Amino acid sequence: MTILTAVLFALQQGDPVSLEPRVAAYAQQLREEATRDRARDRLVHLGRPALVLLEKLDVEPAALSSIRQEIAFNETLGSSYGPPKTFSFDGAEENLGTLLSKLENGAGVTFHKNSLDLSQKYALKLDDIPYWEALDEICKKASIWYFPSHDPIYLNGGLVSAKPRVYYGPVMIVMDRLIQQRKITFEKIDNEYLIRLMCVWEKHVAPLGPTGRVQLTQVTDDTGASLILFPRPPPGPKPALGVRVVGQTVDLTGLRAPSAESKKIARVEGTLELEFPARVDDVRIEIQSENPTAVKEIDGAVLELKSFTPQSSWGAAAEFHLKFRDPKEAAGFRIGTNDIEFIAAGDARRQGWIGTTSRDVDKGTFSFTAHYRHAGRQELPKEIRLRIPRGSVIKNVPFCFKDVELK
Amino acid sequence: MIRGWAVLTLLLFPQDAVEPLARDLESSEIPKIYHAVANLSALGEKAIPQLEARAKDAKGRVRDYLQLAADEIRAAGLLTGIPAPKRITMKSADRNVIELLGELRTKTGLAIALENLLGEEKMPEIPVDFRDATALEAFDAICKAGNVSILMDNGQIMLYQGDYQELPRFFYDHYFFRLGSFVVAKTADFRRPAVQSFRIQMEMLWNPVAAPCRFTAPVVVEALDDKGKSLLMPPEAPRKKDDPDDVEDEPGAVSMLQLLPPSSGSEKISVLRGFSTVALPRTRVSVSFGEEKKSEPPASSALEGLVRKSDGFTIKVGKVEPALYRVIFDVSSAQMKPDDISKLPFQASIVLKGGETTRCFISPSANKDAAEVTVAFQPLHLQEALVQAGDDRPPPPPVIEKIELSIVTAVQQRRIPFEFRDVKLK
Repeated sequence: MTILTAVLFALQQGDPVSLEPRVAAYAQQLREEATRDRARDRLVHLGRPALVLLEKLDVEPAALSSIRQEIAFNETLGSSYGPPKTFSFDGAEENLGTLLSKLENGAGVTFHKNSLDLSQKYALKLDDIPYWEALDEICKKASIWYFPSHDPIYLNGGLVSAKPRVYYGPVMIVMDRLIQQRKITFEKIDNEYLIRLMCVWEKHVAPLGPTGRVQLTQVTDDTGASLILFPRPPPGPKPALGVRVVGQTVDLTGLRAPSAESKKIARVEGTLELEFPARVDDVRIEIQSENPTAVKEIDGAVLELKSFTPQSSWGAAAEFHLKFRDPKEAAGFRIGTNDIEFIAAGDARRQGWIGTTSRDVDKGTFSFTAHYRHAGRQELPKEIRLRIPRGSVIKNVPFCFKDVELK
Repeated sequence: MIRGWAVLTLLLFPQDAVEPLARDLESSEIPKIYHAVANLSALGEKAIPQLEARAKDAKGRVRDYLQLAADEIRAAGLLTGIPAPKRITMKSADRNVIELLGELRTKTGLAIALENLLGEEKMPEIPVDFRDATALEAFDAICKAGNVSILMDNGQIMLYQGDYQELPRFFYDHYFFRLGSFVVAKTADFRRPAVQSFRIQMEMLWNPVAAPCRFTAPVVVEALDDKGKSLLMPPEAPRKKDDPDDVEDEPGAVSMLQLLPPSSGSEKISVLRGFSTVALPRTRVSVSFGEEKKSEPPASSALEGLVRKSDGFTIKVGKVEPALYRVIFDVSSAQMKPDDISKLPFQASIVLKGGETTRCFISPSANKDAAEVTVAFQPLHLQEALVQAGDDRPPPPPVIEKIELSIVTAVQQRRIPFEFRDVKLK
């Protein structure tokens, strides 16, 4: 058991001893069409140590170059992006509780699983798969479904979700629904076909969210007809959210409906834009209990803690005001729950949650409240740590759904 | 004893008043049917036993029409402050749309502002010819002839030059329904077999004198396509909500009628019939300000701070801001919390210098001590605007002569029918 744990730990840490055979195996898979995309995904997310090994192997130059570029790009995203947490299971029977705990510990998440029989045993043989895929494999075995965009995730027993899904690094894209609509306004007829995707990511990854823009390379039904309209109408504007939420929908519009005789969508392939902060400014505010206000200057902006007042018996609300030197920065600014951390007595770390947000683009300001739960100790935390996302970088996330049934 | 009186009433009531009107209910012409319903309703309470006796023997639509007439008679006695609808006859070939709408306003009191139509230097004369039309039916006919589009915003009728849309329409009493669009959708969410749905958007418009306080979702009682298929949705047990996308809309003036998809190859909906239930004011507490000096209108500052007390409510004129076209009231009560007061329906009437009427938009909110009711008003200055057409100078602030605020303390439900025939499915 100890040896197995050590091997698993080594796999997760990217141990150079175990990395070499993995890189060689993935390099081999790059040659096969069926395994190419997955192998490329793994190699990209194994990062620079794998690239060094890959460069010594016989790999097609174009594939090597694209992997090299994406590794370099991912490094520019800093702490906002990272490789997926991966999991391996050796096929031995384990109870559901143990399987889920491995995911919880490995990915730093907590599942709500009150209604599940955690003693049921299941055997899974999985090798080096990312968190979302591992969770889906367990759910398939144990007839569990969940909404991936809920935080925390509630696992519900009874049936398995049949929504098609694809994985890329720490990101999962779920095909949420297909909507064929014919709207007659007594003057004209609008035919619309819409594919709604849901984009979610692992907890350690912190994008600002999808922009809503998508590049489609192929959408075909099983009769071979292309569903992409030319020219494709631009997507509607996305509302400017004030909060970085966990998962968001992306609509694929500008499509025609599949042929009447088709039973499947054969392929939906393209990339969607996921927006990341160009950098993150860390700010620490020490709380003076007699006067819990503070002003911190960061590059191009001033962050002010205007008040930090107890709210009934459960905690306190901190009111922040950010003023940007460039008012345009306020227009796209978003803050998330993971960006605020309260350090309580005894260095206990507690995540905040965002209450209200408001922005005034003309004045270049963004205001928000962050709530703190004191968990029984009726005192303010000694420190607040904030991550202020700045600027914007777009990462294109590829997806390819195959053989989606039109039931 | 009561049954005896009912039989006696039935015997004493002239049968020949009901008989011809009841025959009209079997007509295939919708205006004729609902004209007959209105005339049956006008017979008053004495007609109720006979209407209900006939309804018992009748079937299908006719039974519903007879029951509607009986219900209308009962509701009429409970609705206060809503005038009976007037029927209009108009024939003209030498007047433009503004002149025609002006006459309609004079004849019916329909609150319509015409500012948006006044930019045109020369408006064409348009022919209109209608008999015994309801105010809204006449209004729609004039707008159609003059190519003026009609919108309803916050309970007020708005008019815009051009883009009149030829939509399926139905007129009844102070109300007007129109179908905006319909949508056939097929949705696969991978959780259950793909679901096909057919929804028709229906909008209700009204004469502001009979503005509903609340709405409930319309009910369709009959829907048939031209192949004879019933499009009524089967009654369904309430489904457990497990989808965050399933957000139910608050019932309002615009609603989506949920139906089964028509048969393949069908070209029209033969009948679409149902009712929309609205709440109308039954009792209200009304106070007025600015009536003291009849000789000249009070200054705005003189109105500010005035207080009236009525039926447990204290109503104070908080702010009068003529330049912003609004008046703010503070309403409080010893029996009700400000938040509860703000949820009551309010009505307002603001009259300007010279007796000029306005239309009002009301938005209540609550603070710690009182409900704050903001009344925004818009003058209907037909004559002045006609004289000054094309003048871009901002008008001087209006002078308020009289303000009336009503709090609706009880409502009466009323079923407003709608019926469409031969709605084309392109």
